[in-house]
Amino acid sequence: MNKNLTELAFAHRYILAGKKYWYLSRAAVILLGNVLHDCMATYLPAYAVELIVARDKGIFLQIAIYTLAMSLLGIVVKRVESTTNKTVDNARMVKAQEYYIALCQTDYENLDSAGFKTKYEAGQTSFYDGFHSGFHHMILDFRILLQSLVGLVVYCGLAARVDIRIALIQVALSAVTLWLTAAQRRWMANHQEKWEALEVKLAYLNRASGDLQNAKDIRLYRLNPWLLGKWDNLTKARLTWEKRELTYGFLVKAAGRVLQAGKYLAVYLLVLAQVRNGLPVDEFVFLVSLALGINNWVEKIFHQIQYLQMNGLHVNNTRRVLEDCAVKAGQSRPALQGDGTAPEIRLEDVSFTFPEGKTPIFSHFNLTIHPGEKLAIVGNNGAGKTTLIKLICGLYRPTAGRLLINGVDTAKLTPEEIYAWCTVAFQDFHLLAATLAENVSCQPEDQTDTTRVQSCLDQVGLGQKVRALPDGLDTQMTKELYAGGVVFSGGETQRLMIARCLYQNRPIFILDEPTAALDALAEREIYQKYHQLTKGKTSIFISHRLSSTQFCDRIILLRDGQIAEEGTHAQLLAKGGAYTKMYATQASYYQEGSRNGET
Amino acid sequence: MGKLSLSHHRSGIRALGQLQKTEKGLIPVSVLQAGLEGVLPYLELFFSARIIDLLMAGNVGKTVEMIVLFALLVAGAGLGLDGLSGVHTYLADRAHRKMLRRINQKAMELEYARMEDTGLLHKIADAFYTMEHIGGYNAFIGFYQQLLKNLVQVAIAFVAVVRFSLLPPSGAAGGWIAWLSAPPVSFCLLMLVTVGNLLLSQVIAARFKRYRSYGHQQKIKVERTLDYFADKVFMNWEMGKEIRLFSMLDLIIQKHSKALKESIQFYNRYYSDTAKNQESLYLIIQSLCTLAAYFVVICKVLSGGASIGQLSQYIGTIVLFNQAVRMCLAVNQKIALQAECITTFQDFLALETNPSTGNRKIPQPPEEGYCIEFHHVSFRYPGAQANALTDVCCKITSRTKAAVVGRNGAGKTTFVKLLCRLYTPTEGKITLNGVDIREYCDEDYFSLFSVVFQDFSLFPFPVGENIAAGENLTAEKVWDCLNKAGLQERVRQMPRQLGTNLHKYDEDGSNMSGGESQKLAIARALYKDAPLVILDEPTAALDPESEYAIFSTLNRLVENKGSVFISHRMGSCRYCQEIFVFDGGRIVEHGTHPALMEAGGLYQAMYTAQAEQYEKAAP
Repeated sequence: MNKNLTELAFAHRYILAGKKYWYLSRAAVILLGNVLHDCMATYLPAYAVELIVARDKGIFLQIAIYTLAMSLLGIVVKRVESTTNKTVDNARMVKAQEYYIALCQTDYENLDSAGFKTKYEAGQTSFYDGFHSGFHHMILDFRILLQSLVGLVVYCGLAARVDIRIALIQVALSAVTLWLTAAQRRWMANHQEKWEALEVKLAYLNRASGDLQNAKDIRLYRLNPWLLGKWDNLTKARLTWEKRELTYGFLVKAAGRVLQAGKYLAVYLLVLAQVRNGLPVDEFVFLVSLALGINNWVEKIFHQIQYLQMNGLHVNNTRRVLEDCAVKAGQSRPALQGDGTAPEIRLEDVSFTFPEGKTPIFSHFNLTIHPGEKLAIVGNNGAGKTTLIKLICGLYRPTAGRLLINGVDTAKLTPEEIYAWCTVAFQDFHLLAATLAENVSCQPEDQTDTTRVQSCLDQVGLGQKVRALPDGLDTQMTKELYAGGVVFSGGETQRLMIARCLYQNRPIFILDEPTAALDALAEREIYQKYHQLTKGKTSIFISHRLSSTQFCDRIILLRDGQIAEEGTHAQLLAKGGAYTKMYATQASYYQEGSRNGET
Repeated sequence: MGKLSLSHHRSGIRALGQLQKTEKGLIPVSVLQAGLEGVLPYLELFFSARIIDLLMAGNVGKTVEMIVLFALLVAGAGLGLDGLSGVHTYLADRAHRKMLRRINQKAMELEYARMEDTGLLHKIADAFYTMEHIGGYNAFIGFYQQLLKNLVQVAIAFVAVVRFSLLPPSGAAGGWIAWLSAPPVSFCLLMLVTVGNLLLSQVIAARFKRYRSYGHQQKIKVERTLDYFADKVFMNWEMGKEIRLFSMLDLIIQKHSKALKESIQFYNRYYSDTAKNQESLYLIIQSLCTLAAYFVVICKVLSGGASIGQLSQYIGTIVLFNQAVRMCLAVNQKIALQAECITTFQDFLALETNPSTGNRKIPQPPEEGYCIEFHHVSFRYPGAQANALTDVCCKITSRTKAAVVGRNGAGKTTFVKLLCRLYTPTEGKITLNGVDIREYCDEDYFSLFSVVFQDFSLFPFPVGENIAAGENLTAEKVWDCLNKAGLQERVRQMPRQLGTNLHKYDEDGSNMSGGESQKLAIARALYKDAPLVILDEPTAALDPESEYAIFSTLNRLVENKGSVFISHRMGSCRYCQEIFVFDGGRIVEHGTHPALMEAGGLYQAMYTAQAEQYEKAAP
């Protein structure tokens, strides 16, 4: 119970921030208005009977006035309710953005953690509109709960005037039903995870079978029977659970029906006893209606508690994530420290282990990159190249040791302050459904320097293509939101990403396999421009193409988180170690009479 | 005004027919349930009236009897209803899933070229979206059930109203009250009220329906935009690096805020505001109906036609009557909306799977192996301005090692997709050993190829099954292929080895890096063991050591097979027997490496561009 109260309080505070008094006043009106309306509706038949029995001359007029007043009340209250709910719902939708911002500002390491990701995804539900799920439903359902409680008290009071036992028996029998259904709820909560996991996989299969991405492999490898087989197995398991779910539900409902029959019996027999004591007929009609009304209120209370409990789980997830993320107010754009010239980067005795990892990736790692140096990093997959990059640019923090930029210990800096030093062209890149210029500048249009954008595009060899586009720099990219959006080829997009880095113009320029998707001629172009592109910066270049490393001042070969070999290209070849072997392997493809690659 | 639209029922009933064929017991159970639900409220009204009258007559014994009978009947009917409801839910859900399965099956069997039709894909995505939010086939049949229930209630109420009207006044009151309670007058009055209710409700429904189906289309558009931000930007975990390093948050928030504002405006206009007004209008109509009901019934009672006990009964019946009429209209509207979504699915299911498939069987390979020849093949994407490929003529055999090279966008991947018959030529034809490949069925033709595309797909199921492309696998063969692809160690270390699930849906599932996934895709191609191997940039994500290992393995493996190799790594193609150079959708050069180097064309330029980097750097 305590837990639910925490979630309720949180939901109200979070969504209704700044609207507290407005909401309270509206809620009071709605609550009391609805209860009053209900009472009037319950009393109406009894009122008519009373007037008939008394042979009242003005019966028609009185009924008319009563009904119209009741309707007017109902309409006004419903309209207020509708407006209030709308405002609460809007607040929910707006708050969703805060949740996303929290994600974008949280420590990057969290994005590698499966636990964090699952919790974050689970917490999204509170911002969506589902069946009694979502923040707005929690607020709404709570209000309905209070309303039903007030209604129950009022009705019990009215019924107790005649015979308190009626009210008590109603409540008691309903409480039994309540308890039974709570037991069912508990069973569901215990087992729900199992079939939710099945549903997640089934939803995946639904998407996957129609996904263009999978279409080629599905046809060429005849994957239909396999995937349909998976579907069948998952569905069978799900249906088995559903049968159990429904059977349990039926038993509980059956008990409910029996109890309901008991309620009817109790009500009528008790009222019968009162009639024999001289209760007038209109009071009798009213009493029966009241008793049934009590039943309705109790059922409502009970359903609302159920909904709130279910919803509470979601809200709990959201609240925890928000607490974990520690939203920062506004995004700081720290001024670049230093004078913009190429800095020295130094890793001193750095160790790094992933938050959920067991073995360290780096252990007492040392590396100094001199100002303006062009460093190449080579090594096999899994050697730690990308992790090293992420450490240098500030996405990861060393678990031990220090990273110093121009002698400043980055432990003292915020992540944004470290980011401000670097620009990185990663292997996997993503375009935004925005204009071409915005994709290059990564800023809103009014803060974009279009001249600079065009110049960067020219530098990577995309200038011609962009000028030939009908909308030029204002071209919408990707077809996600606009059917008329433009899609660049893999190679063109890779160049665009380099242009993006150039626009940022930061003192450290890191390139991770920047030419993997480019053809031979385009690749050469980039290498030839490399010095130009990285002039005046400290630059790091990761590549599998050992031919490209010759453009760099120094090369380090990483293996298992250690620098296995280091030196210039000539020095490394002279050593005749792992680097030489790698290089020879690649060069062999281009040399005459080589054994390698022969068929 | 707005006519009552019933046209959607044609497709609705057709869909129901399909459901009946899919799940035999569904319709009978649903009908029974709807009938019982319709009758139940009247049971209560009837009995409470009897009990009141008996009480007023002072007949205690009979009253108790009636009360007990009532309680038992309510419990019994309720139990029956609950049982039927449970069975119905189960059957409806099962039918819904069966239909989904058929849709999935269809999607997987459609011609590949159809899948690239964005219009079709969007329609299907929209239908799925509607299904997630309004409900699928089970909700569909639920709506028809509601319609039936309300029709039953209307029917019973009508009979009851007629009976009520026929109750003759006994002269207990005079004047206009007596006149009103005369059978013809009271009947006409009640019918007038009902017809009025019907017409007014229809006007309201029609007026707000104008927002309904158009509103639904808009809603899908709005949701798609918000989903884009949610799934592909914010919760796109890989984009997190770029968002931080490039300070993209301001830009993204600006776009998102705009989308959010538009969606809030939309929801307010089409949902909250219209619903509010609709509700108020309905409430007014309802209160007028109630008032009229009270007037007529009170008249009857005052004039002695009906008893006091019957007051509640008949008022309840009349109110229920009008409510049920209104509900019929409301559900009708919902069915119209749902029918659109269901029709999309039905149309999709009715699509022809493979209009161009033949049924010749592929013969066993003759001595010379298979020979696939392109005869003046051109290809243009639907709706494109220019050809992607023009006048391509070449021969690929299961004994040739062929390479396809060219600049980005030259048409290499399109060529390969035509080769494996994912596309059909817009002009020209492709033959297999002289026979047009359209005469062979797709399945057989596909079985000739082991392909690793650049954007291959793996699935979140056991590693072994991914490689064997199915559940029946020969473990030895799988391990062998893993070994050749260089993944054996990695898989041995997995928690359940071949049984470990890939990707994200299991706690002990395994996430593979880009390079590892590529090796897995290669292992899958090896396992299939087809006579022609096609590799599209198979080592792009691999480091030099792994790349070399793959190349040597492949060379051994494609020994007795034909291969087509696309790569930007010019050096890896030089030992192929036939190199095709594509430029601007045409084959501009072809031949062996020495011949092409002699010719001094595009191939030579590209090869040299890479080779000279190694020459310059050589010690």
